[in-house]
Amino acid sequence: MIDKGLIGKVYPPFRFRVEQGKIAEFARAICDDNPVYFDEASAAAEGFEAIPAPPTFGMVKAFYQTPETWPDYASLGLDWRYILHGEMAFEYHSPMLAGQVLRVQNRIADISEKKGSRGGSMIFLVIETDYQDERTGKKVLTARTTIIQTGGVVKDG
Amino acid sequence: MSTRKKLYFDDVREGMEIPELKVPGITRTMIVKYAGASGDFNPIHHDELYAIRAGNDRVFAMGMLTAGILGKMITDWVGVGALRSYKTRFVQRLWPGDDVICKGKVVRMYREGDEDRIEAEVSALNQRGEVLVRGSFTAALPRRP
Repeated sequence: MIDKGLIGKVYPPFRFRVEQGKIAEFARAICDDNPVYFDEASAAAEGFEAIPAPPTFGMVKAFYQTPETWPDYASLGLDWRYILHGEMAFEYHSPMLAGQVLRVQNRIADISEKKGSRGGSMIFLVIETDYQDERTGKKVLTARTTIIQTGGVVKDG
Repeated sequence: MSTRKKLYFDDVREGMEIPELKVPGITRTMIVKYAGASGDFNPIHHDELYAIRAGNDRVFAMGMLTAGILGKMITDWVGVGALRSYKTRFVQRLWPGDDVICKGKVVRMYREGDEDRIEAEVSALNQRGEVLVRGSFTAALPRRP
């Protein structure tokens, strides 16, 4: 049984530096050769002050996350082996750019349980992540991660 | 020297299809590359023995790799700065050797504050036509001068 009292729990903030080299590496990994991710002149031509990050680049904060700043699945009663990433949603408030230092904070937005189609129960955990420019205080990105724990081995559909 | 043709709100219609993007033949190397780029080191995506012991036939790609590729289709069309929201739901696993085919269609055109926006439904499929990722996005587009 999972503790619904944890809804609203806020984790300590941490810093995430948006690095130009990391943007290029990430763009290559998603097969994106768009010159705005590699070349300052192309970024400027699209109206950016610096190289912008691809839409899903916020995931890279994983490198800066520690066990204290993200929910610990085991202590929530979840089994890491049966967990899958169900959904991901991004809301873009202002451009994420190379050189920015972001203040990132995770929060448990929702926990729910649902009967699965094969009788077992599924647990849905929604974590909301806020990304704020440390220097200007401007909101940059809100990300919502939905983690699902299935009753057993992860199946498609 | 961006190669993108600028997209104007005036040139978009409801029902309009987004130019498709295809990435053929996902490899284990591409999965590992995305692990290193994103920091997703869940062994189910790179450790074949672990993946098999967890009940899978082999390793499979992170949903976010597919979502990243799908994101490229979107930004190639609307531009990187235009996105206002992007949602994805992971429906089926992407296996090594499979293709990723991205498609999308405009479903709504509207005004929000002082912006002209579009909403579109998008999906990524494999070469068998099975949906891997289903999603949607909203974007703000300029008016033709």
